[in-house]
Amino acid sequence: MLNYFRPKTINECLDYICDDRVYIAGGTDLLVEMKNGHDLSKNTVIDLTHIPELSGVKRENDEIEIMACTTHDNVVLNKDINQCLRALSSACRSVGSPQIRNMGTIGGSVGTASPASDPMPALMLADGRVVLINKKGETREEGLEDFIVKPGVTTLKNDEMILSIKVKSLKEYKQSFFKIGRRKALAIARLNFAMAILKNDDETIKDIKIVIGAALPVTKRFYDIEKMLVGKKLTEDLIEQVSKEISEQVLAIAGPRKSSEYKIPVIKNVVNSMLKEMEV
Amino acid sequence: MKIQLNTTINDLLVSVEIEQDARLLDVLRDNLGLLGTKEGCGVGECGACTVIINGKTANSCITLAASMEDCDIKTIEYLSKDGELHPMQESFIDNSALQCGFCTPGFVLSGISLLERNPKATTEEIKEGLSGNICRCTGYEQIIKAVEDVRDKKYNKDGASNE
Amino acid sequence: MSLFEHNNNKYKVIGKDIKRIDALEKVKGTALYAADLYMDGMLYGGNVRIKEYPAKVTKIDTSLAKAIPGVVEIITCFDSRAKKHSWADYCYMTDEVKFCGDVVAIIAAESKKVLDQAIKSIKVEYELQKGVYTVEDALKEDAPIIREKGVGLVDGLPSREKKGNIFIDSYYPVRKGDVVEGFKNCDVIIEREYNVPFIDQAYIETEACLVYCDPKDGSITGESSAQNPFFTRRYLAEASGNTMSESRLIQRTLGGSFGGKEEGVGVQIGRAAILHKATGRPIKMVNSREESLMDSSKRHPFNFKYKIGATKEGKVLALEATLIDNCGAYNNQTQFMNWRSSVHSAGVYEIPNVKTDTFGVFTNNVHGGAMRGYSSPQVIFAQEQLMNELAKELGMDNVELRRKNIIRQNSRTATNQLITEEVILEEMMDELLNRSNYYNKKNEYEEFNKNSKSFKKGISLVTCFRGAGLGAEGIDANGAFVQATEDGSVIISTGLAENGQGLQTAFAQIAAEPLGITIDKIHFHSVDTHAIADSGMTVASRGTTMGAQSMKKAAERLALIIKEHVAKKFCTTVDKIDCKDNYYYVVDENFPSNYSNEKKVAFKDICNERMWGGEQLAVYEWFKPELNDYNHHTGQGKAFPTYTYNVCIAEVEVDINIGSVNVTKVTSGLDCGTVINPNTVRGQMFGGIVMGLGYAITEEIELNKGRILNDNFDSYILPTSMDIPEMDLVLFESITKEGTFGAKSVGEPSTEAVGAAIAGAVSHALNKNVDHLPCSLESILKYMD
Ligand code: FES
Ligand code: FES
Repeated sequence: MLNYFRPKTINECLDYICDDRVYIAGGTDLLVEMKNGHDLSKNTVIDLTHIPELSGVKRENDEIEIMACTTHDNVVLNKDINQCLRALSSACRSVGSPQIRNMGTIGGSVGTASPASDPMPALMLADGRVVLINKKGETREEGLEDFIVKPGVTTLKNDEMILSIKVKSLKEYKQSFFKIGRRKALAIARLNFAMAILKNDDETIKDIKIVIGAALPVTKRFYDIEKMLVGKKLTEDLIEQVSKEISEQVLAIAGPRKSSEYKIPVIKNVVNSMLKEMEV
Repeated sequence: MKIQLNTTINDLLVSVEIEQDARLLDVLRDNLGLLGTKEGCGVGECGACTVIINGKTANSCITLAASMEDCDIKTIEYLSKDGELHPMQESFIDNSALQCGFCTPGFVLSGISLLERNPKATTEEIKEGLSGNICRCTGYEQIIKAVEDVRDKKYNKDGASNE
Repeated sequence: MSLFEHNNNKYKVIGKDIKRIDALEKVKGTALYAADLYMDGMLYGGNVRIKEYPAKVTKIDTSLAKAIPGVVEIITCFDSRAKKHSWADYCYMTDEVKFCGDVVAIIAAESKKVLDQAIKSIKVEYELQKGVYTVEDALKEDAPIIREKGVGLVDGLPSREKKGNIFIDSYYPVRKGDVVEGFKNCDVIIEREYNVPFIDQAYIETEACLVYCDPKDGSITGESSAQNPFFTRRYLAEASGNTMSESRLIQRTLGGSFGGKEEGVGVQIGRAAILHKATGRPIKMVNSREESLMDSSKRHPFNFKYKIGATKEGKVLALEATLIDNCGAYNNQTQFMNWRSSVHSAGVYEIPNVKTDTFGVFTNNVHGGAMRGYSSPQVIFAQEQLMNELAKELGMDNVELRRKNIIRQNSRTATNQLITEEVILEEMMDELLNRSNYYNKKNEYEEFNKNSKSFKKGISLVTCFRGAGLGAEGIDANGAFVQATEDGSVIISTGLAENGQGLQTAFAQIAAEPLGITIDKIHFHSVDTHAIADSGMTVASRGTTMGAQSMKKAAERLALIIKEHVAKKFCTTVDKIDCKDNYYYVVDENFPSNYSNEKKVAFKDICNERMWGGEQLAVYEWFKPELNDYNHHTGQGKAFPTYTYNVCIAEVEVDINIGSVNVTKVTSGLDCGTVINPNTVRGQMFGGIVMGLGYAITEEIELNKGRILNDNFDSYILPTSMDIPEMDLVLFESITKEGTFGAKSVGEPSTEAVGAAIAGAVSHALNKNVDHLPCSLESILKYMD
């Protein structure tokens, strides 16, 4: 590495931003990449983990702002998130291991744009928006769906960094997060799912959100299906139809790959059983 | 490029010249001779390199040493630095909670840390708290028992089971 | 009852929960493993490999690497100093790359960082060749021949008359009775095929060594994470060109091995020795996890073809099978391991007609080697699934079918060995059925499965046996040295090595017992080849069973010497002297159990007297068991001096929506002969169960043209603390005249049946024939298709 900077404030940090910058937001991924031969010799490394203002959770009415360097563990422990976005608490609790949750951060997880990110489905569930700040101190917001382009690629510009993630409170919603891994801890998501539902008094759906991760290069929220469901009752037939539709949509995008053999039927099964659980 | 790292390790202020891109694990072992911290995978998946940074466990194999300026780092050597064993260490011995011992320092630190956070941890919570440490020898059972015994204050000599 | 808990054993130290003698340094983090060694002037050694195989290397350009400051030495396979082939089939370096672990150049550098840069800067040119990777492809008529020594098939059996890819030394037939006749009398005959993958030992400490020249005597010295120090010394001597007597191997605390730290550690120390010779400086080599996965041996994959027949009452009359394993590109294990496979190929059943053929096949994969169980986890999986299928076909209960056919006292095994010793297998089965509430659960689960759409539950019992020690595979000889010192403390050493299994503690107990001293008086000196004679390998769970025989003999002889001394002192005879808790007593004739207080003397005082009196205080003993009478051409005869028996019951819950298997409970019963240290035995059993769980559900080396795709613990999936089942252990004791103090094997038996039991439970849950391992998410879904 060419240079290593460890700013204490956001302002100081902005000074260091340059074209060849690489961020450490917890380090977990960066050091693994280095071990795997990623050459940082021409890069400036900016360490974001010592900036107090870059960590923590703020709640204002229905909006929660999670600062970029809030660790997964601190998300799990946060009362507001527990109250308003339980799906995110569960998602962060399912990340790696206690050690990884102590180190890894929400911003890091969003910034690396891994298709198997655990918090991502829960963040998208809550209409997550990423707040970016550039070298001049100007901020902009972008929806997560737009921000993540493909695995490892985001719209983050060279002179920008992630400041925070804003999510909506889903306090009134029934929520759930479900992860399939090959073991119960230290697992990379084979698939992960987040759902939230809000009903009218007459049991019809007022609002519903469905997100699936690790199925496609980018975590996907199924807006069209959500829209279609509003105003309807979740009957068994409808659940059947929706789970089929979702798995077909995934297949249409992913194509008949080897992993589809497993993922497509499982998506159908899991969407089906999650919707059923939501219903009871 | 070399830089100077100033930080606290096992209550001692250290100042050490390190490579800018060195891993904390290598600095502990190669520069400071703290050999109880082990490397099993180098990618954060086994916990053999577990240390406690500012009160929380972390994998030193994926921690940049340069990032540790002004931190409070504790390694396995901290526990018996005054010659006495930590209750968790005694409990590991009594419960045969180790075989080859390569994973043991990491488990001892994770065990201590999980009880500090949650002194009344249930068995399930203990399992979760240890889930970042892989042991290939013991099948975990006796390790879990060792942590339970400390939780149940079986080793409570002077009223404090945790440091 | 032979349940361990019920036995009031007659020993003072044996059978007691003695704390591990190596525990203190391990909890403190001060135990020194090979990677913990540092030395002034030390260089870091590393390996250059290519990413495709097989290939012929044509050119290696080292110029860029040489220019890096801090690179001290580069030796390529074309260098005149390069030693290529080792005594044990593997290569230190080669230009004919056959598999992912082959090394084309080695480098010594001043730091790890420089070493990494240098490795990356080496440019290797090579011509890719046609390879074979699966057993099926390797056996095809037109398959490229991987090894000169490979032979082909004639009439379906390996024969030296033809070239091919079969490793002929690993071929073992078993011929008992007449299977053709046997099948004629069967009412039911089934044929099944089973497959298992390569898996890794996955010890948490990777292979490491430090090689230097001992300044005192000029010996080349290697300190290493070696499971078998004397084997490793052979590589050290060969690669350095020193005599054995000037090659010294010191075993460092071993961070697990399970059979894996043999050949990989050997070639590693050889490479370090070559670099040491070239540079004259100490060389440290530590494998990364990725290298460890590429270079170290794996549990062999097998393709099994079984045919079994029985009468409608369930008496098995004939069994025919081919067991073919994938041994990778080089091999020095399959020829031993397959013998064991052949002996156990018909399970723990008395079958009058048996015909099995077991052989290994060379491929361009990582090599198969030893891993805890040495072929039994594979064979038991296939064999026991086969029994479940047979039961299904017969419409019979799984357990009843087993009960009808298991080996008992006076049965004859597949190798026609007459079992003369006590066999407690049925008693073990009954105890475990009872404890686990097997039949109630079985009914309950079947009821549950009828109504449950997403979850299916299953339970399964598996039985097996295991020949203890090396048997007719090799000579199970060993030596031990016991030296008392003037203060009454005792140093013991043996050629066998602590691998983490608790051998030090068990050996200390075995020495303490006859000597009548407490365990804290004993110091176990880890293996140093300059300090003790070659005792062969710590393998086949032979450590305590057979390997401790010499320790017992040595301790007994020393005890006798001391007793003679004491007898003389009190003017009595040796038979009147007894010892306990560091004292030697004259036993009162009328009250033999009452130690008379006046007539006692401390062990340390006798030692002190003898020391200053110039009398013997040390004993070296050798033990060589009777040779077994075994015919390797027919696979008939006495295979092992004794067998250990094993029953395992697993329970699972399968989520068929997603394909996940949750192992809820494992009940494991082991016939330990004599339990030396209950806590250590339990530790081995817990560990064995969890390792078996990995084998059953998650572990598999994924290969693409010989390249290992999952080369670290993020993708090679080991069970975590959250994945473990409820475990109920049942220790049994039985009477055997073999084995040290009657102890039988523990390490391997505790894992060998677990994978099979879990697979059986999954079969029960899904009502399908689970025909391969692991039961991964994907496979479960496929079974349900
Ligand atoms: S070495 Fe750090 S987690 Fe394995
Ligand atoms: S005791 Fe060997 S890895 Fe845990």
